Amino acid sequence: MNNHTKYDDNEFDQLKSLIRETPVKVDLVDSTMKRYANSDEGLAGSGNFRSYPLTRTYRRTFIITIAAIISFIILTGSSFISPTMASTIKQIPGMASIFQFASDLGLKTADEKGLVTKLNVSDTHNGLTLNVPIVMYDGVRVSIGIERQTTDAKFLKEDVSELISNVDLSINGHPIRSLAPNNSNSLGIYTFPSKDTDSVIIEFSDLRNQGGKRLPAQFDLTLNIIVNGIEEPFIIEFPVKKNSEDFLVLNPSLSREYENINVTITSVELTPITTSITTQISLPEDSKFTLPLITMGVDIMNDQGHKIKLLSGNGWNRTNGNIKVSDYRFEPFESIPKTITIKPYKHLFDDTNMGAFQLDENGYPKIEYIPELEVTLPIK
Amino acid sequence: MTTTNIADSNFDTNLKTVVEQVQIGNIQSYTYIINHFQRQIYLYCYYLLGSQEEAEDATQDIFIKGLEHIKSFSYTVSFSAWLYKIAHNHCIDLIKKRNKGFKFWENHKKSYEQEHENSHKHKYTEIVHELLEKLNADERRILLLRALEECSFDEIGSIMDLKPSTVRKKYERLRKKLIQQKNLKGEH
Repeated sequence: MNNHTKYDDNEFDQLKSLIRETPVKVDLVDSTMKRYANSDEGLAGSGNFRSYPLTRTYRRTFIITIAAIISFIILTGSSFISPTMASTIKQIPGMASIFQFASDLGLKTADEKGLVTKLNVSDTHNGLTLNVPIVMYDGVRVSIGIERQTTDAKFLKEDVSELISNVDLSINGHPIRSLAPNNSNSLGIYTFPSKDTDSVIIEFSDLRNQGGKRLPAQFDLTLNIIVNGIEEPFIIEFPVKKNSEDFLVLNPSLSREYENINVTITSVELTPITTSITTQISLPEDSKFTLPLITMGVDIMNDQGHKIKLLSGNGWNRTNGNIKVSDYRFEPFESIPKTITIKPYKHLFDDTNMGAFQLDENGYPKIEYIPELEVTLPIK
Repeated sequence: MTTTNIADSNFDTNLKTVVEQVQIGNIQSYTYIINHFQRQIYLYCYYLLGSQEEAEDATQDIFIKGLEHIKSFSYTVSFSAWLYKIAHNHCIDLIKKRNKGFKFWENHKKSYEQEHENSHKHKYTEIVHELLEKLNADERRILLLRALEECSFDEIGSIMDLKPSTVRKKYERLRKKLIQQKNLKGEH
């Protein structure tokens, strides 16, 4: 599959995440205030602080040495799609709805059960039309199908996901970042491949379980899409409405503790389209997230031991913080299970190559469950 | 530090009050501001200057400059954009001083390599540095402002004294460069 060589939107976003999420601890508050206090300005209200020598007592910042995080971001990021699924998608001829051939059981189900809104809204510039034929919103995530229509060869050289250089979203006229918590945590826009190179799925979720605002049940969404080589942005506006009812919403606040790691399941939400779980991992107050805890994840299984596939996830912990809150979005269960078991795991790292994952025979990182942190919740 | 107890979630609401407090002489309130912005300002400096030590010094200098001039701040721009303008000018000054006839990036590479001699620990930032190396100075700044603060093109324009449309063009160009780079890498 070509997905690994494509620097699509999603990967560009991942590069920005790499920069933003650089694992660095910065504590320059005291040293800065001390320098200010010792300066002319601080003492007398005037003067130039730079005439004073630097008072460097000890290193205040520290870049954590983790190559693994990069792999982590890429794996849990949105462009991840298994080779099997990619080849399956390729084998299927066109003719189908954008969602039907997404590598996502939830979107397929939504499409089959009619839990989607069919649209026909588009914008055209310089002979290129971008059309939104379908949107799905189950209260957890908003998935938007985008397809191109053009006869101009220059817009057909690249996949539509590569043609699009940026997408900004507005909800009821407000930028999507107005829903984000008031910290450095921000809403990500994920892109997923679809049935062919003429279409792409973009997706986003709110951060209501991480201190952000909840998406309303109904809203007007505006896409502002920048296409390489076209000056004018493509503006596409359409109403979005929650298409399905939750099966279940739980706020169990169930905790398990093992070796100073406290894992709390703060929210479980099952819709016909998505299984959404929010966890909070807390370390003792003076501890920071380092390997292997920084890449900890969870698997989810039903009462039969059937594991569902992770679609996307995002976690945030405050700089120097000892608490990390993560949202995970998995495929839906095929039927509502009697119980679900949330199994926290850590990755196994290579002893000889610091920060590198140990990989299994298929090239996936090896994990080790932490049974002491496992939580089983009754559902039915 | 009492300031760390203030929840980040109230930061935007509090920021205006905090700035006013500092402006009327409550210097201690400035610790809120440092606490909130230090990580992003540090990374901005680190990825532009290339060394942790210089970035630490620069970050402190930027916050001190901010404090010295906070009385002149008014809400014609966001506080964040105002602070990044100081950071932008400060890093340009440092690079100019350091250049003295040498190309900045060669110099940067040297200091970066020296810092990383006998150490392969910094794989994470190496990857970012390698990518940034493909960009020119303006492009690097634009990418960092978009990545660290999600600045709008208007805000970046005001920080860098450029027209928003110019910023957008440069942003598109840098994105293309990185795509090409990635594709080249992916082919072998």
